[in-house]
Amino acid sequence: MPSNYTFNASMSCSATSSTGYTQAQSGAFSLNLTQINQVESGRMEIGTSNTVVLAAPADTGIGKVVYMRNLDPVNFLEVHSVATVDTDVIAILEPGEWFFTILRDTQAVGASADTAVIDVEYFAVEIDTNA
Amino acid sequence: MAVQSTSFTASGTFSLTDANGVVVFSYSPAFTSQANAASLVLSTGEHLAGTTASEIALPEHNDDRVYCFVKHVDSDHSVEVSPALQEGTSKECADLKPGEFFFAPMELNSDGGGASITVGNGTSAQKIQYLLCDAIDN
Repeated sequence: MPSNYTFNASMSCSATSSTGYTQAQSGAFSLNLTQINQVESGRMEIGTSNTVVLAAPADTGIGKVVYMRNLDPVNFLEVHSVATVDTDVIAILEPGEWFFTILRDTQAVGASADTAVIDVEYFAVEIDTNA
Repeated sequence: MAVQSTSFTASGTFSLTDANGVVVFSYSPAFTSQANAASLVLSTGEHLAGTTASEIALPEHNDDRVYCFVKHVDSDHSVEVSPALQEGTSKECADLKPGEFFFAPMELNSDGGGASITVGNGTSAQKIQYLLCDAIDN
């Protein structure tokens, strides 16, 4: 399997009040990833107990980029570092919402649904020390 | 009594391409939140993240959930984003090098020890830009 990759990310967001006041931000960047060992992507079920999304990076890995979108129409879920429910929460995703982050540590990433099993769309990619 | 109703929109594109030019994945998510009639604060700005973590969220922001976008706009060292005064611990939500960004609907008091968002850098002060908007409680 190839171990060198290019990761591209771009996003924009805006917040608007009922008065019409609007503020917006955007960003874009690329990462060149070398000799990485973990690329996770697709859809998965997140249970009400902890579900590991990405195991702790090993070898050359020094961190990860992580994205997750809640596909459930009703319930929310938590995403956390160190893969422990209700601890070190990174994001709380209501239906349809998503998050993206970069973490430069060797902790696993986990998620847990609040009420019932939730389907999510996600990727989690190990990054190396030079990225 | 007046209320400040806010809504939030986010869209992005993320892709991974291998050394042979094969696209491993590509995602283009987007959402627009429902109007939040309980919103108190929509704030944005530029902030110098010092060697001691400093706060970017006003106390009036919703501790339960805030849409948070942070972008590193400096040129040197990484910046840690945390839900409270936890810079340098395992509790950070993001660790950004120059040009990189982070976005999440965050719980500000997830560590039980504070109710803000802090940014910090252990080596030298770095500039970040941010956009924060109260979200509906989970």
